[in-house]
Amino acid sequence: MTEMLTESERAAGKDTGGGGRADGRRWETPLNGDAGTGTGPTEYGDYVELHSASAYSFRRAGSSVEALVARAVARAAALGTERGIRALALTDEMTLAGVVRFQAACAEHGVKGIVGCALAVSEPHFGTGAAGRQPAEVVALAENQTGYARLCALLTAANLRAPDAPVIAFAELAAEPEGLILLTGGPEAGTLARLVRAGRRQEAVAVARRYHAVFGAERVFVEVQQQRLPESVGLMQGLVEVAAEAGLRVVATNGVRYATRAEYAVYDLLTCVRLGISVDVAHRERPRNDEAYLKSDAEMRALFAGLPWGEAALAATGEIAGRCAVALLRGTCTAPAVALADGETPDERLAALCEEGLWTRYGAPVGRDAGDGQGQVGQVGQVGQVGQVGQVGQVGQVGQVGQVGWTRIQAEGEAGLAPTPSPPAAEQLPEEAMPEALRAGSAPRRQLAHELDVIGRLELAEFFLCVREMVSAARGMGVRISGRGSAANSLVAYLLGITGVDPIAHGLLFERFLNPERRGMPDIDLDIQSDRREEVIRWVERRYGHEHAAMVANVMTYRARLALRDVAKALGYPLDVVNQMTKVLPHYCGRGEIAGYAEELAGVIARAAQGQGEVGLAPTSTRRRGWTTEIGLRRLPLALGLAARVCGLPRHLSLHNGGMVLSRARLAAVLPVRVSANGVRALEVDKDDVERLGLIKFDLLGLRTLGAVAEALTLIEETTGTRPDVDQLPTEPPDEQTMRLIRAGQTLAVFQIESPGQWHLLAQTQPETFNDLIVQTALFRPGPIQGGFVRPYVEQRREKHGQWQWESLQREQQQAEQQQAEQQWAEQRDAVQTPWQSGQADTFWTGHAVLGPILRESEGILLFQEQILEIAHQFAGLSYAEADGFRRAMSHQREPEQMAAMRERFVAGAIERGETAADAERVFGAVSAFVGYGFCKSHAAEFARTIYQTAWLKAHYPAHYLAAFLSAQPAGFFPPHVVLEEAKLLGVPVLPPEVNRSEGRFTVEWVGQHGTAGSRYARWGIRIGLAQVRGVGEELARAILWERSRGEPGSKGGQGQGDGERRFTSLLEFCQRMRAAGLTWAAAEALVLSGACGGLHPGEDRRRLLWRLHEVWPLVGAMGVRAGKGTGAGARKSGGTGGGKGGKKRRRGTADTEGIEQLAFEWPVGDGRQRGAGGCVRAGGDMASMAGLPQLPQVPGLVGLPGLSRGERLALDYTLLGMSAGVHPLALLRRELRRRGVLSIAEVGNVPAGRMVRVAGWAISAQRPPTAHGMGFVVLEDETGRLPVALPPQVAAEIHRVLREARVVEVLGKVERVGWYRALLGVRLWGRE
Amino acid sequence: MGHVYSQVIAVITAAAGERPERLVWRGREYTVAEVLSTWRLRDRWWEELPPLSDALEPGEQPQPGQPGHGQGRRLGGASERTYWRVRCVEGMICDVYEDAARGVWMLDKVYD
Repeated sequence: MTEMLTESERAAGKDTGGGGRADGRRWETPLNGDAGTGTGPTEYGDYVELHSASAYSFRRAGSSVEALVARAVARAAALGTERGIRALALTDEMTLAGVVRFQAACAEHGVKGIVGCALAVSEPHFGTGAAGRQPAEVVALAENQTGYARLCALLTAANLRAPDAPVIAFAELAAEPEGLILLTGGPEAGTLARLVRAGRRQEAVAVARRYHAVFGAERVFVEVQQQRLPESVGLMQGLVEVAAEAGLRVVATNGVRYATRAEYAVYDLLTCVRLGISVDVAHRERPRNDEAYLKSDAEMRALFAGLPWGEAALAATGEIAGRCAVALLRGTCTAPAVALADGETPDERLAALCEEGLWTRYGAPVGRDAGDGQGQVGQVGQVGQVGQVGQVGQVGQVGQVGQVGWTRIQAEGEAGLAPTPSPPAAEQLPEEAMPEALRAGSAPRRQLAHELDVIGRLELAEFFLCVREMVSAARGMGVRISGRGSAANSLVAYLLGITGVDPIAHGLLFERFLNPERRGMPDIDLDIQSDRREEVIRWVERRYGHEHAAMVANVMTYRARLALRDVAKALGYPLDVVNQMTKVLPHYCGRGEIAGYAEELAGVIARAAQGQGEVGLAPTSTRRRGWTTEIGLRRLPLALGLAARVCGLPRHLSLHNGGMVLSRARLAAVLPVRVSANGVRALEVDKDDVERLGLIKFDLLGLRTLGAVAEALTLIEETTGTRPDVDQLPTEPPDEQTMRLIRAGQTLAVFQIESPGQWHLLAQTQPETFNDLIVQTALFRPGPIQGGFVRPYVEQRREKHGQWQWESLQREQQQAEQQQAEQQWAEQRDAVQTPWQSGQADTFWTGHAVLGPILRESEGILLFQEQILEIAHQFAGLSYAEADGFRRAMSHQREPEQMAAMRERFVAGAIERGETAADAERVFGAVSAFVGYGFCKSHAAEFARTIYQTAWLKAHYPAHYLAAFLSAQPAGFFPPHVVLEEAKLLGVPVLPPEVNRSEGRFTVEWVGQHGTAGSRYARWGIRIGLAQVRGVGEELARAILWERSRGEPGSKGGQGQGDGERRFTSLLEFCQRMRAAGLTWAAAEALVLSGACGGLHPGEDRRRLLWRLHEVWPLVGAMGVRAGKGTGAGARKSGGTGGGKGGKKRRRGTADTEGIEQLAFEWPVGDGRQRGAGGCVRAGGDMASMAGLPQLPQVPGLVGLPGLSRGERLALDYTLLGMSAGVHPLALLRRELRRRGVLSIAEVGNVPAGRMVRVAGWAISAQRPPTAHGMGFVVLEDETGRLPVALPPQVAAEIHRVLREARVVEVLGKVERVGWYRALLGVRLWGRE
Repeated sequence: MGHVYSQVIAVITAAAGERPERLVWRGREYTVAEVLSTWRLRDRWWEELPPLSDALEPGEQPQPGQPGHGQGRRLGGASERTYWRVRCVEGMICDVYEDAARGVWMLDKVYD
């Protein structure tokens, strides 16, 4: 033994060379400076943990990477640098998902972060026979960037080959071991350990020798762990002997699974979660003790004391740590190459495109055509002539401003490969013919020159060209796409069509997006209509290749509900109890709040056991072997404690909803790539880590609202023949009808401003301009609300605009009432109890010569990040680049020294510019306090654009827009049935689903005209789509449409068909035709009960139709089988020609009837397609008119069958559609409510402020935002409107419970009014049966 | 070959948590000559009782009917054992363990 160790040590000294251990404690190491380890010799103590898993091993470890690093630091601090842990390796299982955060945490604490991975390796000699068939564990540590890239490549290959259970073949590992240091794995999974434990020592030696031969002694270490298990000592001894025989060295690790001993329970519990067992069940993968924590040098030394090889095994850890040096945080990657003309540089290409963009965006030259075939876009006025229900006045000539649009950009199509277009050369035009904005020295030209200069210096031209390619390609595909975020500050982005808001017109600041001192790549976020986002992603993958483009992962961490669920299941709670326990916690519940639900959870456990649970549990359902209520109650404190500890730990990876990375280098060398269940390739880190790595990231975000806009435009075009260009809507001044709608708070379904809080704010701010919308977007954010900025803004704005004079208010209220509201303004507003009560306007800001103009747009309050930059620049004299650096630094973690330096710089600069020291200090204090809350103005501007577009559509085409918005669900703040009720409140007729009229999605239908003879308006209604029927789905809906559309010339059957449609003529015929197309009993029943088949038999009640369905289904089942066997021509030929001639076989209607009781009668099979036109099935009636269809017997039960009541129909509607074309549910209760003195919501509008009323409504929204100091907010809805209710904390605490038990609630509260806004301050809330 | 006893025995250690020095079994004292091996096993941590109610004074034992009564000093069904395989001067080789949950030493197994 001694000799072997001596040899090993000699080998180590030789192999490590200059980078190896010189004096037993120090190594000369090319360290990663970003990892915080300095640049000189570094001390790691005697022991470095080289095998430690974090929670990124996903339920295979119990601590976060931050906890592990913190533990290492604490150990080091406690023991002194000389003997503490100054380096740590992260070796998660088959993933590098945690390495970036790990290195970031290490850098923060001055710990050297070693990157590695516990690989699952499969090889014929590994893991076979007695040792089991599981892959063997090999711990691979990246020695350098080559090794890291190799590790990424190995994991990528394994992930792509077997996404569910990736395994690396030994041959792959052996093929290119350069840059890797291998440890032979832990006692449970390492091949050598498994062979030694199985008594197959010679095989173990053979394997170890092969390791030696393949990788070399300097790259392989036999891993020994003393985890204080019964077999530990014997196993270690065996491994040491194997190592000696194979000429390998040993290294000590502790196979860490958690940072401290206290987290052992979390680890064991998560193991049970992963295995799907309860803690009461034994399993070999569960830990047997709590020794796998991150031990200190001293603890490890004690464990290996007395072992002759122990010192060397410990020392080897330090040596390996010294050899490993991988820095992940400092890299930056280059954008993929774009196609360029011969000799053209990216900068030239960008400049040329921007020049053309100038012409496109800032108008055609005088006397010239608008240009290059773009024509005039945006003549919307004709459409408006048609008019809409609920619209006030006619729509004007929208589109006069900006007669040119996206045509050129769209036309370029894929990849921007078209030659660079040539705008009219400015020098070729006389000065008077030039648009002002394009003349030399104009603001756009100056700004463009500046931006191109910065972009050129940062070498970002290709980055912009890449984004433009994407946007152009998307538009070429007809996909709505829009840039958002700070990119909208860039004129270049605007000119390239990436963003849609003019940064010059709106005073946006380029330096907020990009400046010469910016580190790393800028990111550009793109909103894409949700339903077509995949197409864009696929295009990007095709364009740049799979090796250079990938999505970003989302690290799903435990939140309170899921944590409690997993913990409770693992602690043995029966599933039905777990389900009820989980519901007790609100969706947003902090880890510190979980314990507060102990009492309620105890009640749930007790009630569940008694069969009194919310879902009416049978007493037997909670029975589980050995389970008792007493056990459940006893384990509850433990469950709550563990749930709180599990909160925040990574649980699994999912696909990010839009993050995409592009790189000129192969991504597989940067990070491992995985493939999702639907085949999308994704990096296994989240977007924050991608940013830390310096990768180029785009957010291709699906935005359902854009889908709704696109669909609305299509519906408008289809029904009116004209397509409005919402991208060219006038903003200066804005469309008055649209702004009236916004000021009146009719913003349900309008992007971003549809929540009750926004209603309240809109009532106070009364936006009039597009810039007001930008402010509105930024104002309703946690920062301004918590910072008390809203009230000063409102006060200032009100002061500026004088008395209330909004038209909407004038329309809605009597003059006397208005005056009363005016007098009681402040009192009432405060009583509404919104979080922004505090805060006072401060004239210092508005009156200041420099600050006043900067803050004018936001009425003297700090609102936008761009304002911070301007203040730092204009007030304190910082350059814009410095100002952005100042903003960034102030936004993140700030050290006192850093703060002091900033203050000094800021104050000195301000004083230098003539400010007093007191004012300079004051401004710095305000800016530094605000900077974390500021909102990016360009982002707000892009949002405001979408707000404006959606509001415009709702104002001018309410039926079309709301139908499209319903099809885009889930979207917005409220559920779909609320959107439908909004349509009803606006006077838009709502039509039920109908198999002969509905499409799959929501559509609009012409329902007549209204108005006087001089100006008649088309009246459009919303038709509920068939896919909305539960159990039907989009596929069957499509099949119904297809079947309906299979019209044959000259054979139009049924009523009212057009365009060659062959509509269904009866329930029997519908079932017969659709059975072969996949109509199931459940879907047929749902269609009947939802009223979708009502048009087939006008006047027949749904119950009678259901009866009829029961009659015809057995017949159709048999026919369906026949049709299913041959839907082609041949099958039809085999049928008769009517009258039952063809199919003489007699069949019993028993085929595929899905458990429906059969009516036992026989009938001749005919071919339904041979029936006469216009035939109509009457159950039990005259079938002779329907050639080829069987006759049905008279069914006596049909006579006298009572129809459904209104309540029953409504219940069916909400059950099957989630909404109803009929009356609001509250309408059915109105008489009874009125008798009891309960007001309708409309009636509340006539009640003076301050009076107590009782109101009932359907709770359509309930919130307890964390910023509201315990207050709760409910929105009630009835057939007359909606009413926000604010609830004080003691009442709000009951919201969750009350709404779990009832949807309809009654509230007793005080009426509050602000302008048109009405609300209740509830004092009591209770549910109704 | 060994015999399992699972009997409470008296063990003397130099300090809490240290290796056994001497042990007394069946009235005879054995002196530990060598520790052959040591290991720890922990199980049923979830049976650890929640903190005793405020009604109990520190050190007070749960009364009949109270959670944890009759289940040991601090832990319910939880077990936390540190095993020592020792060779005694007298020739006996045995496994003893300290049961942290119950605060006792147990003789687990004696080898022939």
